Amino acid sequence: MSGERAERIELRLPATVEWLALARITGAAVASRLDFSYDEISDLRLAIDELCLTLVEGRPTSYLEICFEADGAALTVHGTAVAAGPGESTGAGAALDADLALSSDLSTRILDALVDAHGSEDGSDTRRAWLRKQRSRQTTT
Amino acid sequence: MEEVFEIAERSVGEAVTVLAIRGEIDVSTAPELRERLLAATTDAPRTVVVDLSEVSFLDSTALGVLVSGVKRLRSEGGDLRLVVTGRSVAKVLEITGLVEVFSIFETVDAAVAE
Repeated sequence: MSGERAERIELRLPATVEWLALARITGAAVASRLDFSYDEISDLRLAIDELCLTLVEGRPTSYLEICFEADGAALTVHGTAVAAGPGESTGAGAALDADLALSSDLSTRILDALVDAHGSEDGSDTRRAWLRKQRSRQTTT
Repeated sequence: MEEVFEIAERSVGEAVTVLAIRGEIDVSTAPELRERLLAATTDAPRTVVVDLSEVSFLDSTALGVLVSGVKRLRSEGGDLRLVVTGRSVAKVLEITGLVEVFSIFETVDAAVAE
C-alpha cells in the first residue's frame, strides 16, 4: 500500500470499557500501514484513546463509529458516539464518572500535545470528535 | 483482547506499600488501580509507591486515578510516589504537566528511600 491514496477504514463498536481499546489498536495498525514512525504511532494510540473517552464522557452511549481516513501523509480519525435509548444498558460512561470528570481536562491537554488538530461537537443524539495527525517522515517508495 | 493487567503489592517496613503494575492502564483497568490504592491505605496514612516501569500504556483515566490518590494521601499525611522508566509514560506525565505534581523516581529503591 503506498499510503498516498485517500482510503477509509471504518469501525463500529459497543461503547463499553471492554471494547474501547479496539479503536486505538486499530488506529495503531492503520498508522503503521501508513508508515508513521514508532513514536507517532505511540502518540496516535493515546490520542485515539482520548478521542474515544471524549465521545463517551458523561453520557450514556450505545455504540461508537470510528472512521480512519488516510490522505497522503495525514491520518484523520472521525468518531461518532450514538446516545443510548431509554432503558438501554451501556458500559463506558458509568464506570468511572468521577475520575472521567477529573480527566477530561487532561484529555484536552494530551490531544493538544499529540495531534496537529482536533475538535468535537455535541448533538442531541450524537457526539462527534475528530483528530488529525501528519506523518513527519517522507515515504521512500 | 489486551495484554495481561496485573498489580503486585508488597509492604516495605510499616509505612510504605509498593504497587507494581504490569500492562495497560485505561478506562477498563483504572478502576482496579483505584480500588487497590484505596485498599492499601485504609488502615493508616501510608506512602504508596506506584511502580509504572512495566506499564506499556497509560491514559487520562489512569492519570485521574493517580491524581485523586496523591491528593487524598497527602491530605492524610501520606504520599504517592511514581517509578517511571518508560518513554511513553514519561511523555504523558510531561505533556499534562503532572511531572510537577508527582514525585517521580527511576527505581523503586530510590522511591522507598526518599
